[in-house]
Amino acid sequence: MTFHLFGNVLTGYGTAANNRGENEGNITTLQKILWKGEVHTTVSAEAIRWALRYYWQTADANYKVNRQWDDAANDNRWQNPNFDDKTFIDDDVLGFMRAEGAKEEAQAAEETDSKKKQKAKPKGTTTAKRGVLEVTRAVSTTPYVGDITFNAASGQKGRTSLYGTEVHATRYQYGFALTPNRLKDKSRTVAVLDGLISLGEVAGNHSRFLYDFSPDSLVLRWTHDFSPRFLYCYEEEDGDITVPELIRRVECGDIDPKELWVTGAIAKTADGDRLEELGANVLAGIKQATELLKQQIVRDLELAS
Amino acid sequence: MMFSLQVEVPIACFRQSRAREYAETYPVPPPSTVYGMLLSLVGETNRYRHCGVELAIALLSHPDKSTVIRTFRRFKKKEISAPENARPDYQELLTDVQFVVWLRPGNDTHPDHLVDRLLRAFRDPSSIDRFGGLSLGESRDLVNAIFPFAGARDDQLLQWLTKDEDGLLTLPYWVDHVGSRGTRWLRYSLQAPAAQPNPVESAWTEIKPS
Repeated sequence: MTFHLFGNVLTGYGTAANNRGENEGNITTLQKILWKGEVHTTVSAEAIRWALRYYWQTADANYKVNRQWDDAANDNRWQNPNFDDKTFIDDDVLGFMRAEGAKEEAQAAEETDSKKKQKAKPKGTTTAKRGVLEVTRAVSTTPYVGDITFNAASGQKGRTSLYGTEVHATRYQYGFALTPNRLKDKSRTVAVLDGLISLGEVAGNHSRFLYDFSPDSLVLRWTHDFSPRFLYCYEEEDGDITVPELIRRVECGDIDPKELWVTGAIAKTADGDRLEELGANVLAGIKQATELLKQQIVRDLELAS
Repeated sequence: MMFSLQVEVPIACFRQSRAREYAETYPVPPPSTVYGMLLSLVGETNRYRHCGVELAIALLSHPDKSTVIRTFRRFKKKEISAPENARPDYQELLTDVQFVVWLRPGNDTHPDHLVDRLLRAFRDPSSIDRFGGLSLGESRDLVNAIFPFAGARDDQLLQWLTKDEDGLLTLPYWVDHVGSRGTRWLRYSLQAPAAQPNPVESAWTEIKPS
């Protein structure tokens, strides 16, 4: 019996810009993808994972983080370059890879019978653990219409003082999945939830932009099902947020409403009311809802509370 | 016995086997990728376990292709934080990937066929001991939904992936994780959308390492 925690996060509305070192001439571009036939901006899963790790590093909660960000040196510092998923929360939750190719396959072809003697692991030097937390790419809820701000560097002016920045006033949505059984320390599920509802800054260019990535609306699902079935379920039209696809999947029986925790701004909408009517756990306060879900997780995983 | 599943993946990249700095994507998930996802679904970590099983794949959607830049990690220096170990490269992404995969036991000699295990998994998900977000391709490319295929709607056409000696798509059906000597490819064509409800014989691919 395996429990999975799935989530779909919708951020607040803000002005997003990015500075990933990729420019077109003197324009700092945003990442874009085609989404439902239109151009939307996007933030990578790696950026969100980085922000979660940084939250654990800087939160006053005694999390032990292996890959720490050194602000002074503007670089990562590993506490233990050989990794230790028992000690360090990021090694356990986000996984790691020290990539030196293995010299042979992890399983030999004839090794299909589990009763046969297990061979020793191949003598590659790969030290790897797949991340237990999967995070999807964040996608804007509205298409990008091409806004650019023009700027000038302060102080002495030169040939490169004038530059432009692509800016998108929007919300982002992204999903995540976690199977607590795979954690060395299952209680870290709680730290993941705490982190994801507290992400303050994701993606670059924060010397100029503060884009709050904490959830304005949040849907969580605690289930035995293999797949979330509600990724990218938020739709925005004229500033109104709806979740028609989520409601459809609950109504047709693909999602058991008792497994759903619907919280934040979406709770106080007609769609929130409809989900509550269908039997979902609907609460306005994100912190309150996650606290209640954490209690359920502690019970189901039989963790020491 | 035949069993079919509908799969929805919002964002994915099926990196071409021979792509280098520019990570091009195949337009359709290769059989080896789909097989790996199905093993993950039932919690099977030994990919040789169900060799011989046969798959047929048909696209339900017309995925859009985009290009993003991202950090790729590679091994150049032992020092993990060496800047040479990471560099930005372009990657193609597909959005709105929806397809159907048909399975039949074929030469799957394991007493508990993959088809049977999948049927059991959908009857009682709580009986499955699996781990990790279910993904297709890269681990962050999560599968949003997978469920038994109830047949195409009247307005839905299928794009069948069929074996074709003159096809323009060369897709892996088995991947060697140490170098590429053991990787096995076949040539395919992606057929024009049609109301063909069941796989023709040329759509079936046997998953095997040789």
